[in-house]
Amino acid sequence: MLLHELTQAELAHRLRGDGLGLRSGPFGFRIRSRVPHVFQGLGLLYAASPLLGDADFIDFDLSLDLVPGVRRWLRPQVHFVFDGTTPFEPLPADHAYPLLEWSMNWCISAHVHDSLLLHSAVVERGGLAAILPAPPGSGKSTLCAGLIHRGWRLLSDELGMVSLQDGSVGALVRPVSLKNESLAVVRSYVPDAVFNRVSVGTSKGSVTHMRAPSDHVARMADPARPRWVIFPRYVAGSPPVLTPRSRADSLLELGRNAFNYTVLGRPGFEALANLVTGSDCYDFQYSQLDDAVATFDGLLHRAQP
Amino acid sequence: MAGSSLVQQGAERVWRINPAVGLHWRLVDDQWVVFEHNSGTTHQLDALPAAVLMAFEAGRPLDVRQLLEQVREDLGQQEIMHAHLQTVLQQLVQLELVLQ
Repeated sequence: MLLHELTQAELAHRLRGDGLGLRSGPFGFRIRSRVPHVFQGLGLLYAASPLLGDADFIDFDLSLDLVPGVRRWLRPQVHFVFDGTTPFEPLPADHAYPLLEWSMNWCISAHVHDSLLLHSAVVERGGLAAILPAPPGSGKSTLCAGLIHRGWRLLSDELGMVSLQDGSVGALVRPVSLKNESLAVVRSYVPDAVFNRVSVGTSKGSVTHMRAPSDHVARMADPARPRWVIFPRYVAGSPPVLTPRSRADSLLELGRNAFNYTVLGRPGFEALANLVTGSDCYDFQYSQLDDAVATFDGLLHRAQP
Repeated sequence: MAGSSLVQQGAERVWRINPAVGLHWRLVDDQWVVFEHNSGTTHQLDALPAAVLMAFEAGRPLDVRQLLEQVREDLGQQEIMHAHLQTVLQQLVQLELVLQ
């Protein structure tokens, strides 16, 4: 059963009651909330996501609700509760939906250690994955949003999940996070994409989330083989410039961008070394999404016999 | 003559691998990458520092003369200079991979 098959009343009832069981890749989330922005955001952005059945395992049990007390009426805030604990400071109620997405990321990055978790977007085409690690502000999510509407499949826009067993990259297929100037860029590039409302004044500026294409969500169980590691950087006015970079240096940079590399120890090192030795590594500078898509399509063309 | 002086100074000093480290090596293209599992740190090493570290890892403590002979043989490069070796040793000490 998919989320959009629930009526609005059923969705609200689950969120207010025992929780909404939602699948994202290999993980089961149970989410509880009485906050309208959370209800609206989930209904809009996770419409094509599968719901968990009664017998399905819940990996992460979380809730987002208004902080009680007089503040509830003056400057309402929301807090994230995970397994009965509150890991973060509360945020303004208007930031409830981004807080949910950040909290879901935290649940995975802080607790999942049977995969190497890279801070990166991952897209796939022809069974081959391009891993896009980059710091905030590099244009990683903008590039990811453009690519997934021009033939590439979304695996994740934030967490590259590398299997320690076989080196494949798993899919989470959650909404794509966009902020500040990238909102207008992606709205213009993908006019029919579905966006949540914009939350302004967050720690990351103005942020929203874009719904993942439903056929990508339907393939959340399909991993891909890493083929490229591409460090993107948006530079205003730049033509597309793809520059090969050292695999050894890429290994170190990926390790610095990983959530659990040092936790995993040697298995993480071996997974990362296998990943870079099986991939072509590049720095990529761009300013126009069409140029970027053409560059990525060119890489795919050269990689396929 | 400067080289001889360095050899004599170096002969008084013995170097060894830090016994607290555990190293795992991968050759990635022409670069060695080594993971130190107790600290969780990863280092990218050129051929000479990698050969030095491997020489210590393989056996007993060495002075600079012994080390120079070993890495010249391992790398097949007779032109490796004492001064360069001393610099590499200092770098490995700073990384806490080698002790004096």
